[in-house]
Amino acid sequence: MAIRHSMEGHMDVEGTSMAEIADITLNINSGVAEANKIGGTWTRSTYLSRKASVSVTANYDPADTVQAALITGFTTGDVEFSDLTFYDNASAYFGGQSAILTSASITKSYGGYDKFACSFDYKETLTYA
Amino acid sequence: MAGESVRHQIMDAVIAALTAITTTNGYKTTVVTVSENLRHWEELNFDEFPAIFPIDADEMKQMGAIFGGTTNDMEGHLTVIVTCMVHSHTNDTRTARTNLIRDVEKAIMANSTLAGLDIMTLPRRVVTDKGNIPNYSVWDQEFEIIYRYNSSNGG
Repeated sequence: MAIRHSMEGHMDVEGTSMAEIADITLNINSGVAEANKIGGTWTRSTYLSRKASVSVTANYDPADTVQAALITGFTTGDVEFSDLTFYDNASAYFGGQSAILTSASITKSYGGYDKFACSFDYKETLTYA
Repeated sequence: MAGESVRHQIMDAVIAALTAITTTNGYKTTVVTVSENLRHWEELNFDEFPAIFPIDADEMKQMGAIFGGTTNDMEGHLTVIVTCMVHSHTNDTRTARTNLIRDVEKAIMANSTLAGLDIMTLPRRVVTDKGNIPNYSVWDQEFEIIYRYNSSNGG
């Protein structure tokens, strides 16, 4: 049995683990084109390409090296990171390739931790090792 | 492991904060007795009031973050109950009671030592379920103290 759970795993940006992560989601999508004849009975689909992205939510900690680097990325416009790696346990990981930071948000609400959320698009091939 | 548990350190800070409730320190009350050994109000001499008895009570624990990249990955929600007692020979305790309720809350919420140990301190409720006691007011003030610690060390 190799079920993964929240007591293991982390996400590294350029080799440094991001702290205070609440959840990480890796999305992999296939692009599909449709070429249908009018009146045809079945949709005709053609595979185009695939794309991977990562979204992450963390307890907001501006003293954390990675969170600070991501905020700096947005404030300076340097949103390309050379290495984004999502470890689903201590050693198995997706990625290892460069990625573009596509969004970030900081949320404050009473009664709980402030939240930092961001998302990335991988620039190229996604691997699992 | 070096030092006392975080829970122990939190109680040290709570007791120190409550002991500092004096008019000299800017409060409305000067507390006479602060003790972790709860006593019945009729066991106390009149000159031992106002009296405060704090205790670390129930605690709920949960993960604070995904463990892999975070050092203090566990989160404790510690309930601290402060039992307070005031006395009046004329059975007029309302002002002493409301002043001390406010002073206890101020002392715990404004304590810098406690703020260095925890993430958040929240006053949760005041429980005045001790009945109508002639010449005394007795109540509990509950606080929720949320703190973080490393799961590999224990809290």
